[in-house]
Amino acid sequence: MNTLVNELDKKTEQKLEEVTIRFKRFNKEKKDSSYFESFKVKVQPGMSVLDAILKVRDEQDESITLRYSCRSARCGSCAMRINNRPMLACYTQAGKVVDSNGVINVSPMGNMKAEKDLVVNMDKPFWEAIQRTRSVLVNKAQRKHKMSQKNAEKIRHLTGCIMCGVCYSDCTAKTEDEEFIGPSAIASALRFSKDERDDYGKTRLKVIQEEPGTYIECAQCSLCSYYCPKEVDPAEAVEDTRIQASTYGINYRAPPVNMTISSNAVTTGNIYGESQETREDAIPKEVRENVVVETSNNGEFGYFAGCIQALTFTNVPENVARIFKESGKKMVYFGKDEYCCGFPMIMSGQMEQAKKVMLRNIKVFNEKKVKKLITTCSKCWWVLGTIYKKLAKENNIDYDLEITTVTDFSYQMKKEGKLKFKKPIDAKITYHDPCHLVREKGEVNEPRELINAIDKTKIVEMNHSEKDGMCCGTPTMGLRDPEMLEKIQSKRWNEIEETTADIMATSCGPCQVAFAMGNKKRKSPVRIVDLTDIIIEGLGFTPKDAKGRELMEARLELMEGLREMYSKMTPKQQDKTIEDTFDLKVKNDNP
Amino acid sequence: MNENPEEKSFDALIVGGGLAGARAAVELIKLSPKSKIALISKLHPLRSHSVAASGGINAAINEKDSWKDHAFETIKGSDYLADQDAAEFMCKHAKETVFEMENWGAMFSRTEKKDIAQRPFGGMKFPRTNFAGDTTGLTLLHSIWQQLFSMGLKVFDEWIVTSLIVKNNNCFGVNAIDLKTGKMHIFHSTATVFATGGYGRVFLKTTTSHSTTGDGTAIAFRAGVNLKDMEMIQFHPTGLYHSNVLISEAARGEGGILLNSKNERFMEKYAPNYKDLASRDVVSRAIMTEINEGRGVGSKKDHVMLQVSHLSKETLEEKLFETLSLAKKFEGVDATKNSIPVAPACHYTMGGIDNISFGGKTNINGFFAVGECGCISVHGANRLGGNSLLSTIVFGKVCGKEVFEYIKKNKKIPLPKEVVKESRQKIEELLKKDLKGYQKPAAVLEKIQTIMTEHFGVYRNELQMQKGLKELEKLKEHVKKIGVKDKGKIFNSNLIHALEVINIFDLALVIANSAIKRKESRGAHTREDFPKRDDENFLKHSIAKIEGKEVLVNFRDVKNIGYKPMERHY
Repeated sequence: MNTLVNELDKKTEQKLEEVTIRFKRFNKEKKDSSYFESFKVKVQPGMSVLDAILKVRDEQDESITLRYSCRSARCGSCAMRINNRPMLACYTQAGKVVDSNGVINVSPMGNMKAEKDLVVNMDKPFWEAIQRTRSVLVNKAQRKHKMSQKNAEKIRHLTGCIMCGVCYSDCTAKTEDEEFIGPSAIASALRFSKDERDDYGKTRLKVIQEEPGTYIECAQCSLCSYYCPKEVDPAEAVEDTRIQASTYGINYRAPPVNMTISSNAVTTGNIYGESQETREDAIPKEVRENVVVETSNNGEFGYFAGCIQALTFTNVPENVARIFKESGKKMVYFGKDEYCCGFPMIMSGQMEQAKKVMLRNIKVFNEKKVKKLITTCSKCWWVLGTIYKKLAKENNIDYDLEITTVTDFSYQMKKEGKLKFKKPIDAKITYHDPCHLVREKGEVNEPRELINAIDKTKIVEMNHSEKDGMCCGTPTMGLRDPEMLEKIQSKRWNEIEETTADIMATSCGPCQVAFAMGNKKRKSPVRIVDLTDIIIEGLGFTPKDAKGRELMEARLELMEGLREMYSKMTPKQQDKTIEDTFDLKVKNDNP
Repeated sequence: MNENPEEKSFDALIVGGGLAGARAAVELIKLSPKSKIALISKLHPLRSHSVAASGGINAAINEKDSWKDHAFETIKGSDYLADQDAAEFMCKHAKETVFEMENWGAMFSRTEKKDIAQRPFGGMKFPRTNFAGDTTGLTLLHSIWQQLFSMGLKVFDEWIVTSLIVKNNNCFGVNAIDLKTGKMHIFHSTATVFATGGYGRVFLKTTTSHSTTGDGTAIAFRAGVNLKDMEMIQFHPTGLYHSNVLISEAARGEGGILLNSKNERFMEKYAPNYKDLASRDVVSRAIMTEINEGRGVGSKKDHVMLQVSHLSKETLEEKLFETLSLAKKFEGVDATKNSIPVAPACHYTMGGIDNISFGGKTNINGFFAVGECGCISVHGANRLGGNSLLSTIVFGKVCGKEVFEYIKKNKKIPLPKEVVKESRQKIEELLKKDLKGYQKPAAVLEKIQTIMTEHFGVYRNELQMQKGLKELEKLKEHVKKIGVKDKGKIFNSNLIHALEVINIFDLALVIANSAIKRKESRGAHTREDFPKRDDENFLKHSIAKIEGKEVLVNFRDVKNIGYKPMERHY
């Protein structure tokens, strides 16, 4: 992944003589002591934000308090938010982060309580979490100092963690649950479990999973990996931990509703437990003509719709077919042969179940001779691109597919002059960047340029946008704890409303479901639509998103009912219900 | 700070959570699991300066190598100021130390045969430096702390020690402030160990952390502990030009070369055999000579260039990853294409608390010092790259053993209350000091650092040093006026900074006095007025002690077990 530090390295440094550092001041000792204070300071080329802060402190206000020591990104002391992003002050050049007014904003990291100015309390949220992971090499055999180069290189990046806390500052799961062990701790545990000198791998994973705040809670939003100054890539570490746990046969017991969804997906092929035939209805016959083909002969795209799109937001598959038609391209629609991508199972720790559907899907892709896949869901894109590749490699299966999105496809078609927008849309639109698409795929300009290309649209950006975009909180979280989802999403809703946009567009079904869940009580008037709706409207068609939304409401009610049903049961009854349905149906299923 | 200080009681107390302190703690807990042991650290232990050590740790683990060669080269590198028995001890135990770290999980780089990878380092003929990319210190510190975390050591992190409690040549523990609350506490302990690191911040240009202010060394000195070889300050040849951030010796170990303004590989002239990998004092002197003779680079002609761009992509990306990113970040240089501007900067302080045993005993009963803050001495007048990590771990372990023996044999003596009170008053006075005409700690610090850099740098002479000493004496008035503007209790870093500057000042005086007394050139101590080594008069350690308010410097013979001092050629 291209990290923030990498991106800043490529940026040219502004030549400055003076900057204004705007501090968020705070002192736990005094009441109402949170305020902003600005200081002007002379800077030289190459000067770090830390140097500038220390200069302000030494020359202007000695009470400014922060942690710092090595000033070369090794000790991990000086993590703070710089212009709202968690970074190491010593490793960030002032001339690269100064805004057009010559200002650099500095504030303490998030998810940890501020003590004084830029100093936060890391004891419980960070250090205790690190200790909980039992990160110590257990070398019972005292092997004779042998380790392969290959193994060393596999974990080298994980051992580069300097425990600065940057990955905790804006972590979505940490916001949801302060017990969550967090990215750095997971990376640290994985580092040992992957070490061939270690004898404790399985037990370590089992132990950390039995404690509160286990890795399952990670929303896979990848903000940690984007901000990590040492390229540890904790998000990938969580991915690997999920896979590693499954190879050890450790299955996590997720909350009942999440388990039901996983079980549905394995047994029926979709998360709702409905007939797979329903998937065929998503694209009406008249739209299919001259677009949908049975198998790919000329390297046509395969369209992997995803459960939410194929069964709820059916406007999306229809939109996709129209976009293909307008572009003069053909595609394979998997319809009833498409199984859930595996995401819900992965997220609730049922990796073995996930593997079943994944292998089945790979078989279908091969049968239909598809080499390129179009997705309309951020999660599908991630699972098909990342987890499938890891899985295929592990099982020696040929899987060399290009995974892309309908957004990317539309953008290319527009660039080639094949898609032409005809109808203006007179609206203020803000765009919510789905986590995987923006940070891992790097899809920043494509959606914005598409919206901009339509006459009369006006894009307004949220406070956290593009690669700094906040996570929706995920429907997985919403199913587990609706109130918590509302709580963490309220920040995002505030940002949406601050833009005064009429419409918020996004390119991911689960994001839209999560926002519907989080808006249940809030009732914000901002309309949430799929980006494809805007595209086809620009192309002169009328989107049928209302139908999708109705379906979603009904399904959410169903889930709520299910959740209530489980909540009335004792944990034992819950277990029995799940085990009964789970085991029975899993046995019957033979993908 | 008006409340009565809380008293805590321990069998052993370790101050400093870097490699030496942490290793001592592990040993102590292993030997004596039931003893009450605590560790105090100014920073969270994992923020210690040990993490910055990048290049590697020396040990003759290869069959073709021998610890005796390592010992000889260490002694030769020290310009024969090392105590030879100590140097032998360290090199003999190097192999088991590295393997122990390996078993504790240190992530060393590997050879194709799955062994620990080694690279050549300065001043040694055999590639003996075991490394983990260029983050060796980080992986070692993390590995030791992972052991400690699982042992359940009581850690007081972000506590600062303000004084050592000493009476009648016995140590009773320390006074310390909890940064989180601002409260003063007494740590009453049978044995007290300082592992508080070096004093690199005495100089303006230094590769060391902001926290390396020699607190422990200064506090011990004021309490009557002897200091040894304080004039021996290592200047690393390759600090980044603007920021002085360290570019590891690994860069030259992997084949990097130094160039002057004429694009000449000048080290060929100064060290025909070892060239760019001569020992650090030799290379730093060569760079300064090039600069002084007008062959420096840049508009000020005040630095040289380090070229690594001719090395293979593989070497650069796998073994010098950190070097590339530091050059990019702090100098804006893409080192795969262009050379990196570098200049010598203070890097390590060979001198420190005078140890009278390998386990860190001192002239005060119950007080031990280990790691860079101590001086055993194994590094003498010049430390070899890769020997600092080694010395912290080897002697950290011995220290743990000796402290264990000490607490087994000695009972805790009741606290001398008057000594405790005296030191508390000093802090209170500092906090209460009238701010009319006060001196800011940072302003005084810069003055000390400028004097030291100008008068006690790579090249020294009597005239310059006397001038420097006079300026330091004049600065005493400023130091007295240092005030603390922040009157708050929690995280009063202003107070800490003030204490650090006072510590640095006291050490600067000792360095100046010791340097003037040593009328010869040896290792890092190079005198233009005495260009030769004088074994007849100065094959001796300088020992500084405080008498009244004066710094007294005497000399003590180096321990020689048969390595005959020779002229050093590289």
